[in-house]
Amino acid sequence: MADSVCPPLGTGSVDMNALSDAARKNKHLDAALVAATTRVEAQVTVEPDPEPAMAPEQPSAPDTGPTGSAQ
Amino acid sequence: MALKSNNTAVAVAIQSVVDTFTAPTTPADLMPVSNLKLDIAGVTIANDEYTGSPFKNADSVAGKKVTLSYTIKLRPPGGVAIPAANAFLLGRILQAAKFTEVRTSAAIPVAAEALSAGTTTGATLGAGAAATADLYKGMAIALAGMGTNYKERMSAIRSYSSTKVVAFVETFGSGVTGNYQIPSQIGYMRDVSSVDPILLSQQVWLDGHRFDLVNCRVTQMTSPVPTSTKDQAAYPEVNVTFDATISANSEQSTPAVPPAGTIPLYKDGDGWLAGVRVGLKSFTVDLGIQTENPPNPNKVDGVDAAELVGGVAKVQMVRQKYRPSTIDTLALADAQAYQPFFAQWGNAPGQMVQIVVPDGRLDYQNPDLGGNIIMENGDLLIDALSRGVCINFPY
Repeated sequence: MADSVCPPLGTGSVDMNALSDAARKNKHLDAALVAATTRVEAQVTVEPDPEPAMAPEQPSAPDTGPTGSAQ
Repeated sequence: MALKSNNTAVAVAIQSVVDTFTAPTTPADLMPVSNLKLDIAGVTIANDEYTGSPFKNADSVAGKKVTLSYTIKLRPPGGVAIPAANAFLLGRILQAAKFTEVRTSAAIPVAAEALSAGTTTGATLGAGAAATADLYKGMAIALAGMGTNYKERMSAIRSYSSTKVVAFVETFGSGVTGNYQIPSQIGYMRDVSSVDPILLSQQVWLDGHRFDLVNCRVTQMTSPVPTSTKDQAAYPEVNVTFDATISANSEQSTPAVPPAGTIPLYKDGDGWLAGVRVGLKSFTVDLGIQTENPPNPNKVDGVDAAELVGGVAKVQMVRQKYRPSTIDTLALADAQAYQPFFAQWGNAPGQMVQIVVPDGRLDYQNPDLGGNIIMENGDLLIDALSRGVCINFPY
């Protein structure tokens, strides 16, 4: 089923010819937009909380978890 | 020997990973800039400890806040074809300011086709266009029947419906007829989604002292466009400021910055507000970007890379004042309905610039009797609409 409205373009470089062709062929534009977009940057991902959300209380333990970095 | 200001260069690359410097390549990524300011401000804390004397110890130096700002001439990419994806250097800056790069490498449709149902402000596109609302919003469109040369035929699309109905940013003297094409073009369209814009890595050479800057986030961007007159000429420009972190610095001779070609001046073009051709003295697009550094003690500076947290865009204008029969800005401000703004200059493919605001609300405009000619100044307010500001370079 075709989309009747173009989705927001987001970041990156969008190939409008590819997006327009996809729209003319009644393809889903969300997927077509992803396919038509060239990105250099890595996608930002939500970092996990350094401490488990429901972990037992450890009041005096230092936070040494290797996955806690936000590098 | 003293270091010379003109021995300054900037290279800019899209940073692929947060916190990791992406080295620009030279000379491809060298961008001509001016008015560069690399501000390295110390972050200090007053030491309030008693010293047993009337005097205090000096402040502790806790870190540094690095801000880079410069001016870029608003120069089209040039050449005979649009640049590759993410390759246009000014485009990288615009992308970092929350614009999406939109590349149309071949005209849509490839062969010009006829419009139908043309009026002075709109028309219906043909079979070569897709029936998707907003798809071509903000883009340049060439109207073969509405001018005698390339630039006169070039206009822009204010809105586009799922029934292929186009509203133009201009009001033509007669119904639009003839063929149309959405020409090959590279455009930058303001995105208002929650996705963070790209980060940049930049190298700055100050006569042999190279700074590698990582996590460059645009914190301010304005684009002043003055009209060049017989009395005074000035370049259209982009002023940009970045929050950044120094990744490294070293001694390296400043590379030669290749000339980037001519810069079209804002004259012999178009200036339209609310479908009326107006005598603009100057206008400035202000993106009103707001950023913040999330606190993070795991980082050297105690913060994560700056993130975009908001922004309110507007166009500030200074125009000739007109009588209400020409354009009634008081009534337009009273009504608060959306009105288009359109500026276009340059003469040839790859040498033209369009700035399109499809829908803005006019604030009240102030008459200015400070000179011999009555002027009027005020803002066009831009809501958080996708493609609310578009900068196009048609080919």
